[in-house]
Amino acid sequence: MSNNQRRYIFIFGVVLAVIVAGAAVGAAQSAAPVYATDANLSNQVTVNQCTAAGEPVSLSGNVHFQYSFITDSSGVNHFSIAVSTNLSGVGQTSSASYSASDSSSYTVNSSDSSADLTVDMKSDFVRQNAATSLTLVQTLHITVNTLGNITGQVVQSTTQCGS
Amino acid sequence: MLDNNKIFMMTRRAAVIIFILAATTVFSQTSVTQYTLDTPVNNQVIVNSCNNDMVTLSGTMHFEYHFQIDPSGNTNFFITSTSNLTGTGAPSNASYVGKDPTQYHTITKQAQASDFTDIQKIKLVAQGPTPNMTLRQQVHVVVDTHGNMKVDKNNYTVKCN
Repeated sequence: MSNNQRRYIFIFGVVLAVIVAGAAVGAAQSAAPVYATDANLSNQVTVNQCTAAGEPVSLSGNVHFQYSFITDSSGVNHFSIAVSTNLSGVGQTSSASYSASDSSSYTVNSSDSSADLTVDMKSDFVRQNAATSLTLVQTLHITVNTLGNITGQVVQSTTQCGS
Repeated sequence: MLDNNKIFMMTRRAAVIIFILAATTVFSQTSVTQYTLDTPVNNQVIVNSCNNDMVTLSGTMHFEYHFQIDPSGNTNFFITSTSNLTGTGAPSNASYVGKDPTQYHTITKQAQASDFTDIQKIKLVAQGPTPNMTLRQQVHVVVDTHGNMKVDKNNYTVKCN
């Protein structure tokens, strides 16, 4: 191999390394940071509407909120919010176990530097040894902004009875 | 000179008129306009992954909203979505019914429109022993203070339960 060939190979290697490094830095810069918070429930009471008497159910567990955002060239902020629930419950009259584990996502597009929304999040609410189909409806109040601040609150929990 | 009875009657009449005017003013300030939109669902085919039933859905997704300006000048949008869907499965021939209300409250500044997406979960309850399923449909909603509402339905998935 001649000196010229070695030189070309060396230059090619340097250029390739620079391209790879630049791409890595670009990817790291374009990944939006993710901000999170949790709402911990401790014995929040809801009512099982599938039971004749409306059994109170004591809910405990965690509701996890996280979001990221990007700002487009028009100055509009695109907030992407994800919520996941992981809850267990105890029937106050039957002592039956309940569980709810689900996730949902929301986006808000706004020229404001913050977003404020209240939504109904629905999860399958599974009762031990029950054939009925029950849905847990949690009213969530979420605020986010472009400074990385997020609040998440479970305003109330109700149920919908299916079949 | 007016006697006391006449003064009393005039005062009472004036008070009634003032009360009616005040009540009318308050009512007109607190009454809100409700805007509605019906998005039809026509023969949307989904698959019940529990039994491979091909379910053809029809019905409407009804949206309504109103807005109020709070003392801080923020615009509060109150949006309700109610899905009324029915479907028939093939080859089971079972009927599916989905009726699901969802509520949203969003706040924007400077009378800006509210622009958001949600993944609506609509439980489709099947007739008899056929397993139920949940339709998860992404819904994009834009509402403004001029009574305009735009709703787009995007991706959907189906979960068997």
